[in-house]
Amino acid sequence: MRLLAPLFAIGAVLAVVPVLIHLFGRDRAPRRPFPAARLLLAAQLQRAPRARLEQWILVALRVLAVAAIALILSRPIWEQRDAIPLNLGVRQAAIIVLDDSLSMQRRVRGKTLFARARAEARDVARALPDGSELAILGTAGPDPLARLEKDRGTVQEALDGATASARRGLTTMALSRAAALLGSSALPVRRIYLFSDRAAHGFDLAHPRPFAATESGVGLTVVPIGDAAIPNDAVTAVEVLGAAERGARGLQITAHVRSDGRAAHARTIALLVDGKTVARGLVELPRDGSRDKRFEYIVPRGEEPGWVELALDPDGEDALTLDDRRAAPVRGGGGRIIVIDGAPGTSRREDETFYVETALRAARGSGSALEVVGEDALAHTSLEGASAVFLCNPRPSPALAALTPFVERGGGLFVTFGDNLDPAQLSAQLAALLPSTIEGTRDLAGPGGVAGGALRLTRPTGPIIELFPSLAEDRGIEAWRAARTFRVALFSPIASDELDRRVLARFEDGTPAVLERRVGAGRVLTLATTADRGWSDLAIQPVFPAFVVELTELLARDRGGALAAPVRIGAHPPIALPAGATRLELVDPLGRQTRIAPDPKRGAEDIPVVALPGRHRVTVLDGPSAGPAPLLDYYGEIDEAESDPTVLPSAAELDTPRPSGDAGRPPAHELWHALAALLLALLLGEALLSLRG
Amino acid sequence: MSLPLEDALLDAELTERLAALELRARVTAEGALAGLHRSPRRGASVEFAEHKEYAPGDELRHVDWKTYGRTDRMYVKRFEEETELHALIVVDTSESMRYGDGATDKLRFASTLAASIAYLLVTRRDRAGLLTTSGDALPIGGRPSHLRRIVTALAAVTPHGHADLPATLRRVPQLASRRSQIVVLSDLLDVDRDATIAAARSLRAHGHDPIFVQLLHPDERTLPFTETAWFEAIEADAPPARVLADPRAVRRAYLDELARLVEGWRTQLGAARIPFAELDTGAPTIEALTALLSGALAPRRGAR
Repeated sequence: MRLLAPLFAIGAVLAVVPVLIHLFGRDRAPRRPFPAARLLLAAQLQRAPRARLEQWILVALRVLAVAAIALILSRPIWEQRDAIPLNLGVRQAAIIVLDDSLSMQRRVRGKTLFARARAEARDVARALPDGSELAILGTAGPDPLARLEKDRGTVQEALDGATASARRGLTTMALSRAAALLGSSALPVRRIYLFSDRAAHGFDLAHPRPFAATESGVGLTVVPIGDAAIPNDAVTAVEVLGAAERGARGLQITAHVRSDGRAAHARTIALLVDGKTVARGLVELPRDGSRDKRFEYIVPRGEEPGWVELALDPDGEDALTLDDRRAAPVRGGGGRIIVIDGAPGTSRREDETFYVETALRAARGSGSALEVVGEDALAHTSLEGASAVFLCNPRPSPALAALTPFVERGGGLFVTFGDNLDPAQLSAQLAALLPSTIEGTRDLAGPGGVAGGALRLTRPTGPIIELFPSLAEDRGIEAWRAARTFRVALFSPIASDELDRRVLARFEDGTPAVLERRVGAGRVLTLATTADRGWSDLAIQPVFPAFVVELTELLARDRGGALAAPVRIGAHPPIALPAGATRLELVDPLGRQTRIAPDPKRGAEDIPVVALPGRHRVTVLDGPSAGPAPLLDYYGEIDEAESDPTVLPSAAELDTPRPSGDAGRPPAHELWHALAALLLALLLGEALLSLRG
Repeated sequence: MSLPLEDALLDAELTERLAALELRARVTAEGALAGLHRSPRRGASVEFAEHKEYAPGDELRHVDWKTYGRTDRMYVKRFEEETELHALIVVDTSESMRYGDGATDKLRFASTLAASIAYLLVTRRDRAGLLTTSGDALPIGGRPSHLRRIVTALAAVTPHGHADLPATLRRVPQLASRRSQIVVLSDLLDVDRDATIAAARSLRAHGHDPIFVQLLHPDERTLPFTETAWFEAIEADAPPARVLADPRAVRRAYLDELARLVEGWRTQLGAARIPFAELDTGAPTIEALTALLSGALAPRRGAR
């Protein structure tokens, strides 16, 4: 119902006047001497209960009459929003776009929005006349739930089997696909029916409807599902930082919690470390706002936590529980990192160790797992238990041979170069590890060491983005490309059909910059320049700390059971097959097992997308080690945008005009006639009751 | 016959119309004077009543010798003696009688009615007396000056206090030594009915002939008001009664209560063979008196 002149509705407050008169008017009644007052008193007592009832009925009639007058003046109309106001009687090509994003899993009065949308969509599918073509698209995935066809049974079956996902909805994209699909139909009437909560984050707000009705000949009808104010609390972000004031093992964990559609209230939130609850606290949530809840946690000695999770305790009013928990990795955690410093510098800031350690501290705050050893000491250092080794500016040394078995067993090795580089000897000693032979160096520095020119890195694309998500961000790309490199190690070319080695990044002149090689169960990454400021200023670019952290996590994965960064629902997990492995087993948070044999050439694209929030486990079934070996754990993470209740202001922004005939806008009925009739009835009742006796 | 009654209570029209009325007592009163009223005592009065076959003990002077001559059988003539009527008018002067405007004022109406009855009696050579619930009393008398005293007393009466009708009726024997009609004019509201009827029964046992006339204002009879108000009892001596009522809503129940009250009086008085009448003070006095004379005050042959 809508009011055309809502200001008049304020007059409804006058409805209280009859009540006030009834309550306070009795004292103002006139006095009348009457000889038969005693008879009147007896009569009054005799009918007192009924009289009281009649009086209140009278008051109620008067209250309703005043309210009805105010309502009539405010010109109410009733629009049939929930009905399907469509031209369903016309044979047509129709696409039902069913919003199956996470926000449609919000539950209102015991039923999810998706269930409501599906029921509405069923009505449309049933109402279309014979000869119509019908397809169903979801907003959370690219594949149609039912292709465009005339067989209604198939479509109904697809509708019945449709379920909401945990993914983010891309409504504008789905509409675009639907419009393209309708282009293949020969039927003259083509229309899209969108059943959605109209969550704003699903739309391209600049062009929420991606086609012009007049040009495409495609009409769009939006059937809004659900109200704007649905109560929901959500953990939308978790941040893990070092808590220096708590010592080297202190962690500061912050949860960002938002609340929408409900009054201010408190929720209990639990901190879980590696799946175990270690703390609980209350978070006071404002109405339609957010709060940060901070925990401090000191990691017990001997433990290296992989991930933390913040989870709201159950609450009956919360319409969506899937967004009540969120996890984050303890960055750089998961194992011991050994830095082999080939040329320890006299000045700390001139040493690779400084930049690596600084980067890890910035991300996690704890450097306790970082162990720096000289190359000479490598022979006496146990690499067991280390998840990654950084080999910086190595000199040729027989001790380097110890690295090969370490990597083959799943260890990760990162190699950078410097002034110690002896291409021939180093290539020989690290032949089992380096992606290709070092052919020499290229020096762009000018005379006297003054920079006369510099190499720039190309824009990161392809596999390096999958491995280093920070390089996919604008700021990361900018910083990556801003790095200037004056000297590089030159590698012999790598054939494109090599399965165990590849170039991940190059300089603008085509010189490989970052190379990868899979060795046994492990992995070697090589940076063709220095990790300090010797040959390049990459180490002082803002992207370098994130790069090092992600590198650490990447190298640690192959140790088995290591934790990757959270993966958004709907994305491919960053799984790379170890050399020699062909089959993987995926276990989702519900314990369901899936066995796959991905094509190594397709890489992560051949791995199913993450469908559920929670911890997923990946096991190599036929790797180099005997029997199944854990490869990687990752956390499926929902898109926090799905917790944002903002909706498009009006469905009318999307709707397109409907054909004439039995189409048209949703029927709108003026209600003042009915209210006037009601008012007359009320006045009549009031008069009859007043005149009784 | 007309009397120089100058009191405003008896206007000329009323006087003329009263003269045309035939006041007939409901019962023939005992008395020695001949008059318009029939006496149950047969005797040697002027008006022949019936023949009766002679029986031993009958007075021979009443034998109708002409009939004996024609029929050869002896019949005795019987006569109805005419006698004067004694009446004591009892007027309720309580506060509750002070209600109404002008002619509808209950006390004024009662006074007019009492004076009319007294005038009617005295002009027909009967006798009348007055007793009020506030204590004023005039013994029964038949002279024109006595009528003036009655009228004067009625004109001077003012409403006062609560009507103790039983006590008032108990004073009647002091004022009426002979058998009399006792005409009680009252609204009979806030009156102890049982005690009043007991007193009336006592009067009847002493040979008096009590008659109750209830005077109700049109407002009391119909409750015509429309506005919600605090209705307050008038009689200060009575337990206070105050009620906030919407007359439109309570009217039906009130009229039922009133009907119960009136019917209670009628039933209980009827059981004691005491006539009861109700009069509307909104009606003209002469009509009310006419109705009274043809109703409660109408003579019933052989009633005694």
